[in-house]
Amino acid sequence: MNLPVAMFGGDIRQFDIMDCSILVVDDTEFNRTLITAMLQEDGFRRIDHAIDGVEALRKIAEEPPDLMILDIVMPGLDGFEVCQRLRSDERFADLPVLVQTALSDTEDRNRAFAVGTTDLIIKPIDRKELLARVRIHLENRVLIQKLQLYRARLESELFMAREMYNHLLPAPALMNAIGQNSAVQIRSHTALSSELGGTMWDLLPMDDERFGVYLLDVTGIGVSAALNAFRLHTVFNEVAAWAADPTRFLSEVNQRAVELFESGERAAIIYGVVDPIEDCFTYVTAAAERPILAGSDGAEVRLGVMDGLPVGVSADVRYRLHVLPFKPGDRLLLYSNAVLNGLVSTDRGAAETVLNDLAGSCLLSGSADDACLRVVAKLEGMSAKEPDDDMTLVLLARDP
Amino acid sequence: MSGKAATTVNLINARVLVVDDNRVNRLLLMALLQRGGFANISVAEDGADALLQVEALCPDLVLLDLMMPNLDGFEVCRRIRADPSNRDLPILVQSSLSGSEDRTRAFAAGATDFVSKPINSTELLSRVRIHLENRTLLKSLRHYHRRRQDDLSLARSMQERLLPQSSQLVRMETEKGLRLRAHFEPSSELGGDFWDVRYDRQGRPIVWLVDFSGHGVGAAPNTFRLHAILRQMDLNNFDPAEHLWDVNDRICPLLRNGQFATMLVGVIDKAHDRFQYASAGAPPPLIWQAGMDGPVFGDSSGLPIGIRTGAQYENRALPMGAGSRLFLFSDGASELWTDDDQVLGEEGLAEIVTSLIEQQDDDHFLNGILEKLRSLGSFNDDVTALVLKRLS
Repeated sequence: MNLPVAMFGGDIRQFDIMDCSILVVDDTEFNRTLITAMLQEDGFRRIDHAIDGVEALRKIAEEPPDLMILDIVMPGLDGFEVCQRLRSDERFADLPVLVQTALSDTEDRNRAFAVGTTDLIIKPIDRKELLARVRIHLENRVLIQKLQLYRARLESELFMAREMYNHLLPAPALMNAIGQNSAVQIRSHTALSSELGGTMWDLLPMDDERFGVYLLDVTGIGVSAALNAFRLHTVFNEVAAWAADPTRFLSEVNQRAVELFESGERAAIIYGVVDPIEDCFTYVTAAAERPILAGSDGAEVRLGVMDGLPVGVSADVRYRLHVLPFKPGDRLLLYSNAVLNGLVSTDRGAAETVLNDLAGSCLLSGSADDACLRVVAKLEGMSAKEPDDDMTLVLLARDP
Repeated sequence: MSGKAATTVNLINARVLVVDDNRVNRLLLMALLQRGGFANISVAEDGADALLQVEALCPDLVLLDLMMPNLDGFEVCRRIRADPSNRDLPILVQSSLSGSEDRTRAFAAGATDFVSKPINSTELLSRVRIHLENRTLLKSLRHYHRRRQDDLSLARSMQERLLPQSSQLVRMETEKGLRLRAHFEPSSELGGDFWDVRYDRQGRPIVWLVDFSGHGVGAAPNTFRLHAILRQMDLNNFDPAEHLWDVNDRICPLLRNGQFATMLVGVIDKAHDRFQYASAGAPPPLIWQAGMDGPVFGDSSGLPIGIRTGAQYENRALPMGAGSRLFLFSDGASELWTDDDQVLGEEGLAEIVTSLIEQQDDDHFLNGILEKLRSLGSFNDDVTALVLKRLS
């Protein structure tokens, strides 16, 4: 069956089952002719025959029909045997098989169902019943196949898009290079609410020990949000010349986002420069979540600032520069909005407190890997529901 | 169990509503279903009760007697189906073998299937199972479909907004004497084709037509990226070959291995009555002056963008005086598989253009080409076609 791959508008139940192929298996010529005539009269165009079980299996292997009408009593391979063999082959697990049995024969019926028959047709064959059964099973099959095809196509397209998305995230080689050059270990965790999502992060190495890091979170989820994340990633790339100047950099990004985005589309962004010589993280935010700093000196965990308007709203936003100390052994956590939303509390301030406590107990534990895993595990344990937004977190750990 | 082997349905949890006015029948059906493993069974004693229960319980399957006082089974069927959210709810009617007329009427009223009376336990359980499995599978597939369609239609409208709006084209026609008609048709919800038209500093129109490898969701992000890059670029002293070189260098680091795009970019240079362009492996531009009986092919060889940084491109020119028409297309049009299993080819497309060359109305011209293409085969790649006419 060759189904169009086109998208369906409106009701998907409208399709023609008359082009479905039907294999009639019966050793009696009279029965084959009779069934064929009934089907043709109703408009079915593709009907083929097999005169016994062996021929039926051969024809199905060559080209599987959309439905089979099967007689039980045949010389050689009988109907039960044919059915059993078909069902043992995964390719034919879904093929509707309608078995003809006499009404009186309860044992036959039970046996037919036991070997994997889809449904029964009572002999002597009643025209209306035959057609009703055939239609019911074909309509179901076509509808299900159509939806399955749609799903398979999109899954493969989304898989490809996901690979493109993964390709944009910093490669391990880049993270290692920064780890060596700047003595900062970087770990991240991303959990998208579907195959594609609207959060993204990246690293921008500089000529000296400094490097830039951003985390962006586009409104919405799914493909549409991902398209804007891809766009912003391109924009970051295009204006990378200003990476050392966070305020300028983010306003350049914002101006372009305003041009590219439609009203209602926006993104929260945090961008900062890690400077291991000056021991600081200098950053700007466009309504991004407050960065969390855990100091190795045992002092309390510090929350950074959240200010600015999301990117894409207005061209003349001025971003303010903020500084967090980032000394050897310190750890810094950047995260998307979904992290807070996933926490039990509904109140933002309360959620921040919870996250703060969590960070205090996890961020400094063990290696960067350990800390990241612990934060993620804690968050997952605390989340009240299945994630319905995209979540990314980035952990920066300065070597002691 | 046969059928949709891939789905394992938790039958224990499936909610079955038994509708029968006869108490003995109800008990019998319940007993049979319980023995078959169904634990979640409700009963209704008449039609009105059935409708209330369907509403309140949202059953997964209804087992319905036809002959009932007041509201009979046919009417119950019709009313259940009147609610679109119940379109996939399996309704099995009980019918005696002799009741062939009843069955026809029941199907017309929206019944999914029937079980013959007197009830045979194996048959009943098999039918119930088959339809429950179908329903579960349909439910999950439809859910996926709906979720995706919502997301993709949003993405689709975003992609359409990347392209010039008709008001822009009207302005170009009155201000620049250049009429442009475009057709953009992704092969599915999203596509890898992109086109644009803007002006350089001297006010000369520049036209782009780009075709990324692949199609669908996997190709679409690249069109957004390219669009963002083009918005960044300086169009002063516009030189097509240099522009292409620049675009290629910017897009190369972004694309995943194996992805690339063909691209044609050109400027309509009124002062010199020519179309100056550069191509990265795009299909050839077709151009013809007023009164000519066929189009001329422009050379369009060149390395697609995204393959190698530093790739060089060549400026080329075709005469384009007043009254000339230029036809640009993505290879979805020229590489159309015709119904007799052949590729149409650029020559074939040029023949179609020739056959319509007398058509002065650009909308009719473009529609004529698309109609011809559709009559030859179905599009299985994104199709973009642009016709530009220099007005006299």
